[in-house]
Amino acid sequence: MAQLARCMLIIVLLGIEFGIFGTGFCKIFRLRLSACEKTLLGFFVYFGLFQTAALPMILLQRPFHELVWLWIALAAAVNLFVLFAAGRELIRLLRGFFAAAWRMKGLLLAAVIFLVLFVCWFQGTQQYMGWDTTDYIGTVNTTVYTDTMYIYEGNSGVQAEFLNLRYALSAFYMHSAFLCSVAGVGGMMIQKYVLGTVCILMHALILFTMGKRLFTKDEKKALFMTGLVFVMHLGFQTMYSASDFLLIRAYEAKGFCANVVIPAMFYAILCFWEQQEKREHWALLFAVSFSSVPISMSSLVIVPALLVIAVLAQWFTKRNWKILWRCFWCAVPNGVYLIIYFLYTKGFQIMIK
Amino acid sequence: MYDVENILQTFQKYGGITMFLPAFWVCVIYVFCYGKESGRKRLLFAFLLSILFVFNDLSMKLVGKMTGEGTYYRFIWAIPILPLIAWAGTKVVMEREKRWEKAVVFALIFCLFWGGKSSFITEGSIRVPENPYNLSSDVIQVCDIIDKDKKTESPVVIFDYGCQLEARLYDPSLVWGISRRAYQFHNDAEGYEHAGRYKTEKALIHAANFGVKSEPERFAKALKKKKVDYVVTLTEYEMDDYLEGTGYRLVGRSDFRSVYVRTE
Repeated sequence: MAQLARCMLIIVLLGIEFGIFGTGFCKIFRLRLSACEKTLLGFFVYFGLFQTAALPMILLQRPFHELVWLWIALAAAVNLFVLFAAGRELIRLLRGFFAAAWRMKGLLLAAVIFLVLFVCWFQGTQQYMGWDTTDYIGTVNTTVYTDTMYIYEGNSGVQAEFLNLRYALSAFYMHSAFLCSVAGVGGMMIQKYVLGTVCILMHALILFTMGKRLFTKDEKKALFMTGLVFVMHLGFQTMYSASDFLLIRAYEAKGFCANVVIPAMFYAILCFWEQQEKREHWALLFAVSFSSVPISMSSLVIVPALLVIAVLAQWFTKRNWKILWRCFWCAVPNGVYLIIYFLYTKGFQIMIK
Repeated sequence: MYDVENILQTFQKYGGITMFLPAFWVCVIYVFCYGKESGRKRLLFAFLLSILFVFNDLSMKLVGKMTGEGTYYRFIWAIPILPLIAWAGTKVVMEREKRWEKAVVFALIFCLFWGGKSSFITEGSIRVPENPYNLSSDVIQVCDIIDKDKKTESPVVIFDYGCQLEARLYDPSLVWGISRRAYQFHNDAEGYEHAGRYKTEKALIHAANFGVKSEPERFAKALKKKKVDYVVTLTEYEMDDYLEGTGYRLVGRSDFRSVYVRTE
C-alpha cells in the first residue's frame, strides 16, 4: 500500500512539474498560452530537457546514479528559477485550472472525470504481458539494479556487446528508472500505475484543449468531446489501434506516441493552420517535435511526416515561404536522430567499454 | 501487424470489424462539404500529400525497410480518427435544443461504437490484480525461492514461457538462459531441422516449456553450455528424476512450478 501511495504522489508531483516547466518556458520565451496549453508544453519541455541531460550520459556509458543526481540538480534549478521569476504566473496557472473546473461544474464534468479515472484504473489492472513488456520494464529494472544504462539487455539481463541505439536514443525509460530510484518503487509499478496514468491524463488534457479550440472556447462542448473520445476508445479494440495502446499498453513509450505525442502534434498543427505566424504555435510545434523521440522512438518518422504534410498543405493554401523555413527547423531534431538510427541499421555501433 | 502486405490491408486490420473508419470518412466528407473555403483546400492538400508520401505501397516498402513493414500501422495513429468523429458527434448532440433529443442522439452514437466484439469491457477484463505488482503470484513465489537459495549475484535461469516473461519484472538480478528470439521463433517441441543457431536454446525450451524427457544428453550439454544455475518448469511435467539425472536437484515448489538448482 505504501508503494501505491508513493505512485499516487509521483503522479501529482509530475503534474506539478509539467506546470512548472511549462510556465518557465513561457516566461523565458514570453509566450502567452492558456493553462492547459502551458501544462501540455511543460510535458514536452520536461522530457526534452531530461533527454538533453540523459543522452550524452547514455552514449558515454556513465553510471546511472550520475544521471539521477544531474537530473535532481537540473530539475531543482528549474523549479527555483520558476518559483522566483514566475511565481505569479504559476499561481495564475493553478487558479486557471480551479476556475475552469468551477465554471464547468455539474453532471457532465463529473461523468467525464469518472470516465477518465475509470480508464486509468482499467489500464492499471490489465495484465497484458508480452515480449515488449519484458523489454521495456526489464530495461527500467535492469538500469536501477545494475546502475548502468543500456549496458545490459533489458529483457534478459545479459551484457550487451554494443549500445542498442534502437532504444538508447530515447531516454524515456531512463526517466522511469529515475522515478524508481527516487521513489524506491519497482519498475512494474512505476510503469503501470504512474506512467500509464500520466499517459491517459495527458491524452484527456490534449483532447480537452483541442475541443476548446475547435468549439471556440466552449468548455462544455470541449468536455463532451473529451468524454466521447474516451467512450469510443473503450469500443475500439483492434490489434495496434491507438485505443489499444491507451487501455492496455499506456505505460509503453509507444502508448505515449499514439496518444500524447501525435495528438499534441495534431493540436499544434490545428493552431498553426489557424494563425500561421503566431510564435506560440511554432513554439508548441517545435517543442513537440524536439521531444517526440525523447518520449518514443516510434515518433522518429511519424512526427516529421505529419509536420511536413501539414506545413506543405498550408503552403499550398497560403504560399508563405517563411513557414517552410520554420518547418525545416522543427524537423531538424528528428532528422538528426534519423541519420544516427539509419547509420546504426547500417552497422554503426558504439561498443560497450 | 505482421501479416499485412499492402497499405489497404493495414487499414483493414487496423479498423477491424469496427465502424470507426467508415464514420471517419463520413466526417471528412462532411468537413469537406460544409467547411470554410481555406479549410477545404488544406484538407484536400493534406489528403493528397498523405497518400503521396505515406499511405501508399511504395512508401510502406521503403520506410518498412528501415523500421519494419509490420510496424507501418503506426502511421495510422497520425490520422485523427476518434477526435474528428467526436467533434462531429459533439456538434450533432450539443446542437439539439431539447434534452431528450440530445439523449437519443448520444444513445445512437453510443450504440454505433460500443459493445460487441470490439469492446474492451468484457467479463474477463474487469479484474483486480492478485498483488500490487500486477504479476502472477506464482512467478513471485518462484523468484523468492531462487532469491533465498542463490549463491551468485546474478544466476542464469531457464524458465517455462509464462514465467520467463514475468520473472525479471519482479527480480532483475535473474539472467535469462533462453533468449527472446529463441522463444519467439522456436517455441515448439518439434525437431531441430530449422533451429539454426538456436539448437542449444531449443533443447532447453523442450525441457523447460514442454517437459520433454527424451533427450537427456542433448539437454545436459545445453545446460552446461549456457551455464544454467536454475531450471524452472511446471510441476505437472514431473521432471524431478529427469533433472536429477542431469545434475539439478529440487530446491522448492511454488503453486504450479518447480525450481531446480545445479548440484555441482
